[in-house]
Amino acid sequence: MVFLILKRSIAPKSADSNYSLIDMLPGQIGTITEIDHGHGLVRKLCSMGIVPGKKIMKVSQILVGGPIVIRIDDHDLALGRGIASRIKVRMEI
Amino acid sequence: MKKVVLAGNPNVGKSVFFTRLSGIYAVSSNYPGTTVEISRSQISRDGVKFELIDAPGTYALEADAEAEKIAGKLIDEADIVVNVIDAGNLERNLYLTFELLEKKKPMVIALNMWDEVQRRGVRIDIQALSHILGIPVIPVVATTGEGMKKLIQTLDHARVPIIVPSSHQERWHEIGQVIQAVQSFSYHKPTWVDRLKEATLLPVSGFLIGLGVLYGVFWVVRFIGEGLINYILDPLFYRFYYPLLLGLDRHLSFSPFLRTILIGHLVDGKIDFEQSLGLLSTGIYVELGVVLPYIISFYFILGLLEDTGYLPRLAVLLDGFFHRIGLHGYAIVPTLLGLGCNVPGIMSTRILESKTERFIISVLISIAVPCASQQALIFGVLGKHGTMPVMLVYFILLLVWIILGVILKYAVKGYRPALVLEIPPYRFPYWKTLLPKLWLRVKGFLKEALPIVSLGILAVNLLFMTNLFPYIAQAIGPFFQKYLGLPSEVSLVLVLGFLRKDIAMGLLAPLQLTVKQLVISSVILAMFFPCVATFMVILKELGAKKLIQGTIIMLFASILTGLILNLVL
Repeated sequence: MVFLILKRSIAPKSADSNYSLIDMLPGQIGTITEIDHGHGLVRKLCSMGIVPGKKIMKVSQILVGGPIVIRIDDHDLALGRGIASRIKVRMEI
Repeated sequence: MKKVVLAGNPNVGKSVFFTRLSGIYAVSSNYPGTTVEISRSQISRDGVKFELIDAPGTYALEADAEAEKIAGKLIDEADIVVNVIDAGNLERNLYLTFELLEKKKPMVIALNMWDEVQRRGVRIDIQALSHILGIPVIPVVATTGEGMKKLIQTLDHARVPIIVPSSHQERWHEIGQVIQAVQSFSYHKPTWVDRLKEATLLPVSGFLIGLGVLYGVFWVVRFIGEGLINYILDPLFYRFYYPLLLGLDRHLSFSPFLRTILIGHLVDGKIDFEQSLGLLSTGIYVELGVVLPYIISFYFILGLLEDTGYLPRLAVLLDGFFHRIGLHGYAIVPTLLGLGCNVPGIMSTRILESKTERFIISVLISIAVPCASQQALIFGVLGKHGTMPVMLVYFILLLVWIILGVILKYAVKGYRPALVLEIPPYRFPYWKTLLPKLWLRVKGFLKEALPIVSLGILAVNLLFMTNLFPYIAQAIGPFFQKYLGLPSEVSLVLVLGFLRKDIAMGLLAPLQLTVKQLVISSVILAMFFPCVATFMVILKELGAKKLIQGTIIMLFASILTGLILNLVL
């Protein structure tokens, strides 16, 4: 838990794109740069509007390993942690 | 006859749309994936007949999931495609629209939820959109029927669009251009209602609100169910049905066999709705007087939760925890409902995606989740010995639930999908979709469960008539004495508990058991397969093979727990 808080307090604020949805703080806005996953899932995410270049806001990160909620064009999507960690973002400061 | 296929993303209101156009009710809720079966209906306009088909919602046509394949096939067979779009989600919806355009079918776009969009201050230039895409675009509100007439008239003007196929990236670029050309927002500051909506998804406040909602659901389901029983159904049964049965009983005196089958045994010289075991006495009463009221209240509350859009949020909140025992968040609803009555609990496992999950949660419910009458038993038997023994029983059951869940996670192989879930906006439940849904579900329950429960009652009745029941009890009695530390009479109580837990409670009380014996027998009674009705529901929902597997797990788990408790306590 302490580690978690520590990790959060030093959450990156640079424009480096090597961060995933997990690294974002709730309320933070970022742009998707890359989806590091197999073809099938990329296609599915793509059809749901999750594509590189898209601006998103992280709404929430549910406790005990729960999903990540992001807002994309005024609607919310929940993504399992596994998937969320493979969606790379460039965060806005 | 021309085939008209309704195609669109999940949760854009295709089924409400279908119901509006055809007058035939298709189940709809405010979350994605409600339509799993295809609804068809004929509609006619100015003497011209159309076949209307409601396809499952899909984000894309080329994907490999089952629903998408079905939708793709239906569209290939279509003469006219009506692309239903959530106007509030235009950008994302257009991805599918572009894929549909490539199919070169005559097409019309129905821009649904037009009222919601206008309330939110989004402006969409319909003429520009129609011009860019080259097909008619009609704004509609399916829930109220606004614009539907115009849409039907427009079916004749459905046009084959002209479009150049493109890749994913190019397509998103095109969509971006379309959106820039036709849509404009007027942003408003988030109100306190917006903040409250968001709070249901934040880790801490979300959990607190979730707990409150769950408690409320549990309370209201029981409140409505018990209200129906105490104030409507029981008075009806005892005041009107009972005299009717008595009259019939007199007329049946010529045939003792028929009398036993229909009316059952007399208890203290009277017909007892719970213990007589006749088809017309216990059969009808258990079904209509005990189970039906909970079915009605449960489905009413479920309908409310579904239509407001809270359910997916609850699922998201609990996903992490449930994942640890091999389930995803949707499993919380069946579990909670199982606390009222296991029958609707197991029926509601239909909202789970995979067969594996349905099996695991059904077994967990029937073994470790005590239903209302089981809880009445626990309180009734142990309450007078203090709160501690009661809490001990609940604690043991919770422990069993967790341990069994973890074991099943590793023992049962199956597909467990990763979570990618669209969270619908909150909506106010609309009674014109809420009430027909409730009626359809209650009707379905009556049609499906009535014959099955009757059959179960008949079987138990025959077991009694042939003296097989007492025989079984005698055969297993010694085992109970030796290993579980329980007197052999308890075995008969347990066998009877298969029928109704309240019968078992009545029989357990006069046996003068110690607190330890009471705790053990309550736990075993609770873990034992709940009652005939639940047994039958599992058979119907999951099939004979799964029922047998579940029964073996149940027997093994309850006896093992009894053995351990006898040693530990």
